[in-house]
Amino acid sequence: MTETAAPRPRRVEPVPTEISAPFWEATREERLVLQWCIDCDQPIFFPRDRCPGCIGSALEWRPATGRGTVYAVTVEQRPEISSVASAEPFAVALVELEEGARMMTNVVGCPPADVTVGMAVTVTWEPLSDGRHLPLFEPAG
Amino acid sequence: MAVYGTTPEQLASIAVSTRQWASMNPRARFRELLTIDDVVSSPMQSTPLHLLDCCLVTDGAGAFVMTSAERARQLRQPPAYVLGAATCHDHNVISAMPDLTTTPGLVSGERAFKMAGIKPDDVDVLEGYDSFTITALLHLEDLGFCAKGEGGPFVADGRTAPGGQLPMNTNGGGLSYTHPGMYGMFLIVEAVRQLRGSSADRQVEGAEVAVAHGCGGMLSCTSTLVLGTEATL
Repeated sequence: MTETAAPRPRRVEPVPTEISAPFWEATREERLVLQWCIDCDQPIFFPRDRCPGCIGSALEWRPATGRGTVYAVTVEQRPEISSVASAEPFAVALVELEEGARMMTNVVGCPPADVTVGMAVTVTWEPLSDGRHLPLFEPAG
Repeated sequence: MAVYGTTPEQLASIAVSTRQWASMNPRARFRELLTIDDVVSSPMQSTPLHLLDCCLVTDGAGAFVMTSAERARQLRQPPAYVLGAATCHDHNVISAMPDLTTTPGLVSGERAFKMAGIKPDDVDVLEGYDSFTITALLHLEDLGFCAKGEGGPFVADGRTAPGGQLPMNTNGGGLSYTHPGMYGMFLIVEAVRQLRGSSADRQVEGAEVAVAHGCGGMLSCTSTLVLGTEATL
């Protein structure tokens, strides 16, 4: 028997729900989409059944530019979940998308200590095990 | 920090002052005095919070008895009276928090103080949930003890320490006394003890009005409780 241990996951991979499925399906093509409330004309993130502003259900999916700025950042030194990422410090950020919604994400592509509030960032994609991708961000241009 | 220039040393001063209170509480988990340097040189957890900016993980339990004011007057212990109370719930996840520097305490604090007919200057003791040093600083600002953004200078000179203008977390807080997760109970217990005059070495002389201010979720939900002695009725 030559069974070997499964590779240690770098991520706890997100499980799509019925509501979030369109978001995850788009990531297969490295497209970032956002749910919008048609009545409020406001973006909604994370995906929901109802608009958190007006509780209306007239929602639709629209493409996002993938551009944004860092609203807040912390450099995580000691991951709480030991199976996540590496032992190296990494940047956890709230990125404010051009559309106005904020996403919690990682900013990669530069030393974590170089990530600053107000920094312009663009989306970059990290492959997941099933063909989906996780949207991360990197310094723009 | 990015908006108001709050410094790691200012945050650390909350841990230092809180530890001073803990040094007078025989039940506190940590009682040795700290310096600012001890805090900022302790291992970084997640910037800008060091180990000593973070609350403890302990076991613990507490309880209080709530009854009518009429009945309470006939009991053996001097009662603390509820002068005002309010709760406000805002976002769920932190990415949906409208402004990371403002908690729902802005609303629950104002409503509870209004119900009690008090102003921040009237508060003799503040028990404010301190999951991290920054949490306590946000409470000070949102409850109106200082203006938004001025919490750093406000705490930097030991104003919340023993002998300071605003005794805060007089049991040693979540930072030094205990933190079993549901810390709100300990806020209330200590506020009542201070009003009863049963806080022994850490008793704030002449405490008549105490505020217990809890915060749950991801800075999502706050409850503000204003308690007073018989003299405040």
